[in-house]
Amino acid sequence: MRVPLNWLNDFVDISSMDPEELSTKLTTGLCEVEGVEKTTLPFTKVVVGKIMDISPHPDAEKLQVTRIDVGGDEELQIVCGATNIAKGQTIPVAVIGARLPTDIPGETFKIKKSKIRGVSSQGMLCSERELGIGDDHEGISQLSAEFKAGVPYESTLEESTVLIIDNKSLTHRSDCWGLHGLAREVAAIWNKKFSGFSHSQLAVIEDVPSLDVDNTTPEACPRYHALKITGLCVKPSPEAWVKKLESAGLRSINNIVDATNITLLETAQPLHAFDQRQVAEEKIVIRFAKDNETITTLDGVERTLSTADLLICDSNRVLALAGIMGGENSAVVEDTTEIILEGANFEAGIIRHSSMHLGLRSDSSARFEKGLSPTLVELGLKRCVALLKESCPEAQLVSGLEKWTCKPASVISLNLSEVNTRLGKEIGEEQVQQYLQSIGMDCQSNNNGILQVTIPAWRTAKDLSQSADLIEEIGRLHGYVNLGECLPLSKSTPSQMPYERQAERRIRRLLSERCGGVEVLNYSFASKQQHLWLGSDESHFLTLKNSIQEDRPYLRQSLLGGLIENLFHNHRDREQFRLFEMGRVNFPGEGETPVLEQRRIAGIAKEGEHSFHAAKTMVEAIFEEWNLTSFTWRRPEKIPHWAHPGRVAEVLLPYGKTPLILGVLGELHPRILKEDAVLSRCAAWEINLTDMLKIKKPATKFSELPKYPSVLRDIAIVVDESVSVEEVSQVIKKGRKMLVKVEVFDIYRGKGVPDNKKSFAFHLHWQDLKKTLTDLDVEKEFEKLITDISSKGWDRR
Amino acid sequence: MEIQSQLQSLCEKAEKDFKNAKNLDSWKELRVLYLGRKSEVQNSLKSLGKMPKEQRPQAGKLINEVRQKIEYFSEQSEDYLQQNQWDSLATEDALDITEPALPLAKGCAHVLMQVMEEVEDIFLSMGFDVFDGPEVETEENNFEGLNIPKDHPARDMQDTFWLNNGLLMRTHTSGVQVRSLKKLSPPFKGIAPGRVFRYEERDASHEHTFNQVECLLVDREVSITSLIGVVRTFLTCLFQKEVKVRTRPGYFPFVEPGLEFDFSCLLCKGKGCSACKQTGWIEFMGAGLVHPAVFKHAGLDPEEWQGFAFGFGLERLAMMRYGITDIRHFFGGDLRFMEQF
Repeated sequence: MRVPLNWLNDFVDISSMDPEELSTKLTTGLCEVEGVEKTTLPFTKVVVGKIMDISPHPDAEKLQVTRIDVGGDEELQIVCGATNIAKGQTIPVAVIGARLPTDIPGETFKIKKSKIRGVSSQGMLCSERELGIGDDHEGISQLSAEFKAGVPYESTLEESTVLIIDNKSLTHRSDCWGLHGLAREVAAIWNKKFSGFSHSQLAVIEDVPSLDVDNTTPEACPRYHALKITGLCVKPSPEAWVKKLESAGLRSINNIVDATNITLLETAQPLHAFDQRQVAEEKIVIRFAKDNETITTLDGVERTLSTADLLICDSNRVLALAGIMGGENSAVVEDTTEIILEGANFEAGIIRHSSMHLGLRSDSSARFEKGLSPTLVELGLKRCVALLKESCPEAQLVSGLEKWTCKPASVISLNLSEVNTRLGKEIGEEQVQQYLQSIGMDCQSNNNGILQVTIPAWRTAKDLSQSADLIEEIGRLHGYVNLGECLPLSKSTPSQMPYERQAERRIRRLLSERCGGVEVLNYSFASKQQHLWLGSDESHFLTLKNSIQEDRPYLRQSLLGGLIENLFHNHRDREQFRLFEMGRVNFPGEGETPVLEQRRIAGIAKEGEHSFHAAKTMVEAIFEEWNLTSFTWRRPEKIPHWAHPGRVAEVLLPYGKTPLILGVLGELHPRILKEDAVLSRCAAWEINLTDMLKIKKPATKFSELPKYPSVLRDIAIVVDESVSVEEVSQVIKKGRKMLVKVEVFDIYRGKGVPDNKKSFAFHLHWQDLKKTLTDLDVEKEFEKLITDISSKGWDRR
Repeated sequence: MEIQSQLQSLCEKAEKDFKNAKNLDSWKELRVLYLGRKSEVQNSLKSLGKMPKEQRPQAGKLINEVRQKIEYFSEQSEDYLQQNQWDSLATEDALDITEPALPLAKGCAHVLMQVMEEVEDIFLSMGFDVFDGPEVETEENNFEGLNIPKDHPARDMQDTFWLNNGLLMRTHTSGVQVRSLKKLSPPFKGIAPGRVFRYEERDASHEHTFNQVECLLVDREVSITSLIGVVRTFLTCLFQKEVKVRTRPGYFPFVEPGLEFDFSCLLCKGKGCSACKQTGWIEFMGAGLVHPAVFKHAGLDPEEWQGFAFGFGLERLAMMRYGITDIRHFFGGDLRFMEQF
């Protein structure tokens, strides 16, 4: 909202206030001022001058030679062609070096010393038009004699500074959506007198009969008046109106429309003028629309309505969308002489709903949907009629306001001790009363620490209904900044954090600091493309009704889609990397739990041939961090769509009777890699953290250090390609108590190993907890091991 | 004795050779030559047995003396050569110290998660719990429970993503307020960090997905001054310096009185810059005392319980701290961005 300070000054004297300070104080006392806009003047180096002497030009009849005092030691000689100048006048003077505007916006010309018909001239006396501040070209602009010679001309002009207020910060204060209401607040914050409207600014509405109004829905329209005004003449608005409207960011249309708009800007009360000729039988009907009824609004758009839209009609036709916009058919036109002026109050929710659903917002709907006080209607009408009479002195009000009884003012009991505890500062009764009275509240004290506060009619019940609301008023008028600060008394119990969150924090550290993973965050919204990669069926997804990125309408059920996007984004720049994400996925549920949320951790490794192993490192690191060392890997029964069918595994952990499948790990299918020409193998993995955390983390327990040394013997075994490390390890471990640790340290193919075979090299750690092992002991065990290996048909290398 | 002169010349030769040894390698060869298993000294010792008995003691003594002497020459030589070698390390064994260090696994937590954990830790240290809530919320928890009924204009402020099942993506973490009030028995205090969603076009300063931290304290007597105290203490702790805080009225339906907090722009020290839109202040959070209607809705008596609440965005904090100019980087998935933190 734009608040022109000149205009605000009509209602409260702010002439002595610095706009910046005003802005700061309003921000800390009422609403957010986003900026202070100062109009830049189109000229420079124009000063106030006094005409000391005038003599005729020796060589030109129409020119005169003046001597001008501009406050310097010497008077200037300036040749001037204007006829309205006289000795002793105070006028604006563009001195040498001054710049004045031209007809081309943004361009200026410079005043230079010159000779006019042989007489030297040291500047120029200016008209308003020449200065670019008005249309008056009749003669040199005349200033009050009070201004001293030599002062900058700007200082004689009224400053047109505008405050820009964030509308959102006034959501609850519909009364401040007009300058009149805002001025009341400014007066309260500065402890100034709120002058409000003067008598001449408001028309007296006589007790004349009112028009026929058929209000079929008083809940939706608590108040409606239709005034008939005759003797009007549609014409351009006076210059002063145009300037005012422009300063508030509105365009002047004609005197009638402008009168309603000025009223809106001043009182916050939207009004609407119908051409009387278009209102059949001068009868107004207020009703809801029928389905598929249409109206062409003032902006020329035909709109199809529903039963939620409130209408203003005559006995035959639809005239306007109530509170939002008038119809084209009944608008004021050039030859309008009589109007029906609507002053009404509509229910906020209905206007808001209708305006949203029609996608049509206006200055009027923006105010109604905040909830206006019905008492504003009268103020608005009186102001508008006064404006119409100012523009068309012959205007006659031929039908008036019927009596309307306000609801009784509401009264709130305010406990003063509550004020102090809630604000955290002692504020005396007298001061509390002073604050509340400054914004129009009546306070009755009965000296028992309770005030009976009467709420003024312009404030709505939504805004002020209980003591907390009054405490807010006191707090802001006192200034929250002036309350001071303290810390709450502390509880002594230890702080808690959900287990899942603790787990995520530990795993984040593990994956980033120890596993070299870079954490990413991806949107919770999945795309159709992701479904194609993951082979998911979109009908099983929760879907957004209104997605902002049209291609991402689904709630993700896996983090892998986002990680594949990350891979495509980065793979050209980097030879290798590891990424991971921790996030939530959502599945449709049933009944009481319509959504099942799950925490997941997923990652992707691009490390060429080692990608699978790198990804496996990350997954196993997580289980080991959680002491869940009894995990096993196996080939999944159903190969995930995204995975390389020969390079994929799922990981299981024992849990009750059936083991839990906690995650999956696999190389990305070449089909996906090909899409973005990813040249390296890449492996991805995903773990269901929610399930993993269901398994109780085994407690860490100390085991006694062995008293006797262990013996290390290595062995290399050559097997067919089809034989797995796991299979060989099982054979090695089986039945050998003294074998405490088996580690694969090399897998070799090539020279010395036949084709289609591979060699596994193991470190074998032997140990007896009761004695030192001798070479002979180990040798015996080793012989047995070799026998077992041979019996499987494997060779020792 | 013949052996005596032999040993004498051996000794002299050894002394000379060890003295002339050029380096430890040649010294090692000499040591094998003079003291090894096949050396003359060893051979002499072995041949002792062949000598007449009466000569043996004297010869043995002689051989041992010579051996000790040679040992001495050897040690002298080794010490000398070793010292020489060490002395020359600076030149002979110098490394190009500009060669790159061994690569370390280059991982890092996401900058927003780093900031989030920091925020959590500060509040934990101030005795606040950390709460969690779901990202998909009911209208009830996200709006109604917070005194934002249908058709309330405040719903405009938070354009919402709606799901086809009637639920919504939470527009703020304030929904956790409603959950906590229903679930926990007061007094309590805690924060709820997490992802939130707004139906909003993306640009350099807007994202449809971002992270928020909500804070709620419920007790029998709670004041605005304690709210201000907690916020300022938190900010000072986070930025590791005194932060100026400005409080002003703000409108949020779930608090009354409602406030907004700005902090002085740390980039320009409050003088005005592009980050603070020339105002010197960074708009930071909405706050206030918990609205009585919110307590009532959760089944708590507003006469008995009071509270304060505030909420702020993590992105803005991170952008402020690191000078990040485009909010879209956070969810952009670009390694060049993520690895900077």
